[in-house]
Order: sequence, then C-alpha cells, then structure tokens
Amino acid sequence: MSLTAGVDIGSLTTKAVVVRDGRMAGAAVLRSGVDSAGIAEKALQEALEQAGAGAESLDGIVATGYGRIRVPFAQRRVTEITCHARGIYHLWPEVRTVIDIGGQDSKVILLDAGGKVRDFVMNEKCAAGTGRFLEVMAGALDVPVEEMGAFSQQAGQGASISSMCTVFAESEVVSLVAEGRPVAEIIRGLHNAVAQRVVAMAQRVGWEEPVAMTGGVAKNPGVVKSLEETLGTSIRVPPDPQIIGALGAALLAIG
Amino acid sequence: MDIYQLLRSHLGNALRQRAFKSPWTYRLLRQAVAAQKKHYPWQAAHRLLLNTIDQAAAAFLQKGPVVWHNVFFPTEILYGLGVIPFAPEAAAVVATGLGIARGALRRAEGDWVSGEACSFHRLAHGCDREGYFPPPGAVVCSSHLCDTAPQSLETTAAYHGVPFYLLDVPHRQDAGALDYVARQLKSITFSLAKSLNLEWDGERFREALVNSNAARERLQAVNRLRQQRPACIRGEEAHSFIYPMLAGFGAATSVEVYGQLADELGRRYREQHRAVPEEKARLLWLHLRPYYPNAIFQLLEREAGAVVVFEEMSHVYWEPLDPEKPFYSLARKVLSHHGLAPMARRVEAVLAMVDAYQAGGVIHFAHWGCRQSTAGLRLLQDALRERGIPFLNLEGDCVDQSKYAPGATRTRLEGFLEMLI
Repeated sequence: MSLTAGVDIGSLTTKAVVVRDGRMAGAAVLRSGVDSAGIAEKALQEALEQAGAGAESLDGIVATGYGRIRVPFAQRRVTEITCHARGIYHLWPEVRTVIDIGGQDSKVILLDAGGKVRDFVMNEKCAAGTGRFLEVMAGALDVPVEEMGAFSQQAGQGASISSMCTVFAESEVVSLVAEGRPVAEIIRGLHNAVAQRVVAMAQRVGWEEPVAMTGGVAKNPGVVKSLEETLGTSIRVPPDPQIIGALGAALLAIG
Repeated sequence: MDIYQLLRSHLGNALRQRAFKSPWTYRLLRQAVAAQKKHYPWQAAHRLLLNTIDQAAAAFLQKGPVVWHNVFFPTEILYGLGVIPFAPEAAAVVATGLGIARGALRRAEGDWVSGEACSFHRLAHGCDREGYFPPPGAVVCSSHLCDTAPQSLETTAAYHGVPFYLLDVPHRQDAGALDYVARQLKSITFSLAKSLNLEWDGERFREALVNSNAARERLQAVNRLRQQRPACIRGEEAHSFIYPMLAGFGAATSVEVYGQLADELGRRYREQHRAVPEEKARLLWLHLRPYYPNAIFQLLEREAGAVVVFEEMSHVYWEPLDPEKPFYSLARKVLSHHGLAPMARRVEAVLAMVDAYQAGGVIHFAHWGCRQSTAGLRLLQDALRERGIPFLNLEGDCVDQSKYAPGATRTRLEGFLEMLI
C-alpha cells in the first residue's frame, strides 16, 4: 500500500490531496495567507483526516504551485505545469491540451500520449485573464464570484470589454453599469475577454483535442462556455478542477 | 566581490556624474581590479574588464574624439579612424550593474520616451541626459536589427548638436545591396574624418580590419571548444565575452581577450575541468540576458545542471574581411547577419547552432523592447518542434529590473527543465 500527498500553494487558495494506491483518498482547499507553510500543513491535515490516515504513514509529499518553495515538509518540489498535466493524465489519458486558469496565472499545456509535458505557454506581464481578474470584476459588480457563471448564462450576448488590464477593465465595467447595461451581459463580456486571451495562448502553443480545463476558474461554467465557443470544441472539466495540481503532485510523489 | 559591488561599496551614494570625469576614478578602479586578478576564474574576463575600464577612461576623460555607435554598426571603421568608440546600449548594461538604472529610466520617462520603447535606449537616454555618459563628437548608427536605435541616437546627436550618420541597411542581400551599403560605409568614414578633423591613416585603417579578422579567428577557436562535451565554461561566465562582439571588433584588445579565452578553455578541456559537476542538459540561449541581479543562470546551471553551452550573440556569422577592400568586406559582414530578414536565415542559423553545440533545448529571452526578435518566433518554434527540441520563450527585460518577476520566471524555467531532464 502506498500513501502520498500533494500540496499546491496558489496565490488565492492552498490545496492538498492524499492518494492511496493511486486513488484519491482525501482533499482539502483553504484560502492562502501570509503563513503559507502553516496553511499548507493545515490543508494536508484535513486531507489526511478525510483519508483516515496520519502524517506518519505518508510515503512522500510533493509541493507545487507558486508557493512550492515554502513547504518545508515536502520531499520534492515540482511546478504546477507538470502537476496539472499529471493530474489530468490520471483522469483522462487521452487529453492532449490542458487549460489551467488559476488565481494569478493562466497556462496552456500540451501533453504527449504518455502524459508528459510537450510544451507549455503562460500568461505574460500581468494577471489579466486570471482568477484574480475575475474576482476584482465580481467586486466591481457586487456579484459573488462563484455566481458569475450562472449570471453570464442568462445573457443573450456579451458586452464588449476592450481592456484586459485589471484596473482599466474595472473602470470599463463601472462605466457599463452606469450606462445601464445588464450585469449578466457585462459578466459574459468579461468571460469572452478572458477566453480570447487564453485562446491566443492556446494557438501559440498549437493546442490539440481533446481539451481539459483545470484551476479554480474552471468552476465557472461561463468561462468554460466562452472558451468552448472561441476554441470551437468541447472542454472536459473534472468534478473539482481546483485540486488537479495537488492531485498530480500526490501522484508524482508515488515515486 | 564583483566589480559592480566593489564600485558601489567604494563610491556608494557619492556615485555622481563627476566621478566618471575624474582620472582618479579610473586609476583607483584599475588598481582595485588589477589587485583582484587571482580571484578571477577566467583571466580573459579580467583582461576584458581592464580593457573596458581603459576604454571608458578614454571616453569619459575625452582623450580623443568620442563617437557613439549602436552595437550593430561595424566598429572596425571607428578603430580604423582612431576615434574612441562608445556604445550607449553596452554602457546601459554597466549602468544597470552600477545601480543607477532606476533614476535614469525615470528621467527618460520624464522626457516623453515611451515606456514601450527598448529599455536599453530608454536607459541610455536617461544616463546621457543625467550627465552619466561622455558627450559625443559624432553619432553613427546602423538601421539593421534594432528598430529603436536610429531614432534614439539621432535624437541624442541633435541634443548634443553633433553630426549623425545613419547606415541604411536593406533587407535584401544581393549585389545592389552590397554596393549600396559599401558606398555608405565609405561616405560615413570620410565624413566622420572630415567633421572630426581626423588625419587619415591608411595603415591604421587596414590594421583595424586585420585585428577584426584575428579576433574572429580566435572567437571561432573559442566556439569550437564550446562545442565539446561536457561544457567547461558556464553560460553565465561566457556571456560577458559578447561585449567585444558588440563594441570591440577592430581593436587589438579584442584579439587578446579572445586569444586568452581560447587558451584557458583549451587548458580546461585538456584537464577535463567541468563547468558543472554533472551536465544534465545543454541549452542554447537566444538573444541577450537580463543584466540586473537575477536567479536565472543560478537556477539553470548551478541548481539544475542545465548548462547554457552557447549564446546566439557569440555566433560568428560573417566571412573574414579583405583589408584590401575594407568597405565591401564590412558591407558583406553587415549583410551577413543571420538576424537580418528573412526569418528563415535566423531559423537556419539557430538549427545549425543546436547541432554544433549539441543543445537539447533552446531558451529565447524575449526582451520586451526588441520587436525584431519576437515577430518570427512561430517559425522558430515550429522548426525546433519538428526537430524535437524543446523551446522556451522567456519574456522579460534586459535592463529594467522593475519588469522582473522572480517567482513567475522560476516557474517557467523549472517547467521547461522538467520537460528536458
């Protein structure tokens, strides 16, 4: 029997997954904070409790995500690029492209038939088109971020959002609200803008079908729909897309 | 302690424009550097630094006419005329090392120099207007490879009220282009001599071309040694030797530096002195690198054992010059640059470098101001992918530290290394 764990410290959330004999046995998602190591430990503890195991029985821990260097109890550190690829390969080995949109970055990863990363591309310069971007816009619209997806699906069309700079887009959103544009249309416009940016990245790396999506933003069906429309293909989303990086890390810890 | 730390610690906050104009600065600096000779892992690097100090002293103390040039202008002409060449882009790198970039970039911004323009030129503008650079007696510039240089340097020439000479390099490489460039080079040479009241010395001009050929030959010897495995010099160390490529061809000192480097490399290969304890991957580096403190090479070479075995800027792309036909030879050199359109030339050159240096991966540092180096990346990416060579386009800025995101850079590099190793 093998028991391993993966810890993924992102800019907004910290995720932990425990894997027993190659199958997920426990998972936890906590809000990231200043004490990265403490939160990572707490997340791991919660995941272990779900799995009904103690930390002493773990055979290995891999840390990933932006804060991977701040997990003192991990034996190895692997980038989220490789971990998301590994996690998706575990679920759907036939997937060739992974779109991961997290709190502060977005990436498109190409996989080979063995689940190995063939190529990848990440967003440049700023957080435009990431979870943080959507969170700021949700704040400007006074809509809970987790409800943005449902809102956008009520809209027949999306408003035009020309700027992807978080600050400029926020003022654009405020202007659209002042003009009386329905909130649903604004949100759909924001989702379309995110999709256009991510699809440009996918084209840069030469995306291939089938496509899967991971990361917290994949929980937003509005973004997934916009991406599907822009790419012209369907996108597979795992039941909990936010923990795929941690799942991949736990699988990589097997050895 | 590297020389920049030394300078900062000795001059500290007193590092002011007047320090550059005092002969004492160069005397002290030279002595300090000379005293550290044995601490330099590469004596060629030590020699290069001393040469650079001497050249800076000559320019800042105005020991002769100072001619500013961009890094793609053939400097053989300047050494042949006996003037003091000064490359503002290269000086911008030194300014970054000295920690004066932030204030100079702010000055450029205040002068309406667009933040989207190349930061080498923004920084050079700021350093010049803040009085950190020696005033030019004339400015020469080539139009090829760098879009910002002609406008930036023409503005500088106007600011100082000195003549500006533009070498207009066409994108084609036929006989007409060769003739067109050669005629301009001749005209610029004699116009410079006239405007600066220089006495024409045919033997000196010839010697500059002979020096250029000798430096080329020694650089080729260096490059042949770098093709062997395992690597005996880390990319981080080798990168400092591109300076003569950008500002030193035509000078006897460049012959010495490359000659000494070839000797040292040869000795290290014979002694099987490895660049890193275990060479896990060999990388080719395209374009330049960031010059402010950063962890890129530390991560690649020392932590991961992925050695940058060659950098594009050290590629010898031209044939030897004919001292009997200086202007035609130099025109041919200018037109031979693999970065000059069409993109297929650069792709072909990069693939040849991958083969020659046995590189298993390629990193392209996409300096944000360099539009010319980013436009054809799709072709390069496709060609490398066809050969199964992983490629990373690393976006960033060579001299503007405010654009450096350590965490994001680390993730891209580590993700790339995970593909390779």
